[in-house]
Amino acid sequence: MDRQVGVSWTLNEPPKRSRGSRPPELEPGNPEAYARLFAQYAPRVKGYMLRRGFAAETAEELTQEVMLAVWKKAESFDPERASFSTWVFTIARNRCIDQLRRSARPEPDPDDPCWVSSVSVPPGPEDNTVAKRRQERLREALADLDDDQRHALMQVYFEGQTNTEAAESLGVPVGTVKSRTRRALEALRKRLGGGFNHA
Amino acid sequence: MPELGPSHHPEPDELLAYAAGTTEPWLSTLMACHLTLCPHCRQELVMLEELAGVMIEDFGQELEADTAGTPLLPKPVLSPTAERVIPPRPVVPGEIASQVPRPLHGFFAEPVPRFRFLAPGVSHIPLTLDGGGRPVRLVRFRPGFVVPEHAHAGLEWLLILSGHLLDATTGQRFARGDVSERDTEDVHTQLIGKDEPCVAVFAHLGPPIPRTLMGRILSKIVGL
Repeated sequence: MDRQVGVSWTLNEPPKRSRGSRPPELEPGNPEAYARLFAQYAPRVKGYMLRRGFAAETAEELTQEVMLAVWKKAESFDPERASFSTWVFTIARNRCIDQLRRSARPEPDPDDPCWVSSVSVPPGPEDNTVAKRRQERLREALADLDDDQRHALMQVYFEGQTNTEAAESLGVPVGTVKSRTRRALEALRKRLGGGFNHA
Repeated sequence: MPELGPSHHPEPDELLAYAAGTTEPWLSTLMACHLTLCPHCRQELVMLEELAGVMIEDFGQELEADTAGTPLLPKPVLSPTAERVIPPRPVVPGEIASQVPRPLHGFFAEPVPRFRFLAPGVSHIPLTLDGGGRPVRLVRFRPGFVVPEHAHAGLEWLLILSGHLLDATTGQRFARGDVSERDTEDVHTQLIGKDEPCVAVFAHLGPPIPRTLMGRILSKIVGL
């Protein structure tokens, strides 16, 4: 299939205005920039979809949709909240849930009258560095885990099995699966010194 | 400064599974309700999602699949949209809307939900949300109600929405936003606070196992 034909079909649409947070590599209306983004993330997104149990063809379609959604929604990416990879992950994860359930999972809604706000200071410009420092600490803590623990966490995120399914496929009680991931999380928290909130 | 919000949270592996997108629908819905009420867990969730991003960056080569032959874009007409389809928000009476977080609103069976009598001191609103083969429901207890000593043949997962509940077995007190999880065959007695009614969302992944005559009668009628 001609890859360029598809690119010109969508990328000629006028891109939404950037609020200044669109990563520089995602210049609007630039098919080459899209191809670079695709080359960088599509293999990992497709690998994720395959591990979540989708057949090759569906995994491919979902990957295309996720990459296009990333491109189209790039202006809503907020580097003060999360890294770009994290944002790609949440889009891929939500697409995956929608596909499995044929509907979106209900999300907490800040406009809900029930919403309880944090008393912490709302994110300001300085939080960008806080977010970066948090990512670095997580990165170091993760590198410091032993292979088994890291693998247990990778499995939770990317193999996409529920605890019950994992227990069935391994032939062990659900509690065993739970305690394995719990130990990995605890090890990570310990390395972060006092839990995620203090990272 | 201490954070507002609940003091009893879901198990860490449940929040992890929520971040990973692998919780069963009933649990993701109840987690979304807890997250609405709990700034602490929302902060934890941000970190758990960030962890996925770091893994993708640092260890993502282990995940990679071949995309050499993959067209960059989906077929324009045949492919469904990648936008999330959010169902329209149902009309929920003000009294319930201020008490029940929005993630549950899509699961009311009736257009105008209201509490219905179940047994003296207990009323409920069943939800169209399946918790391991049993419906999840909103239960309202009158002040001072006692749920007699019982266990369950499966997990009991409950989220308090108003009032107070005391687990007489552990001595723990639960208020708005708090999650109580009792594992299979944990025997417990629950006391409702004397000052006001208590409303909670209950998921029972197994039938109740009453331990007293009163409990047997109640479990027949109420299923708690």
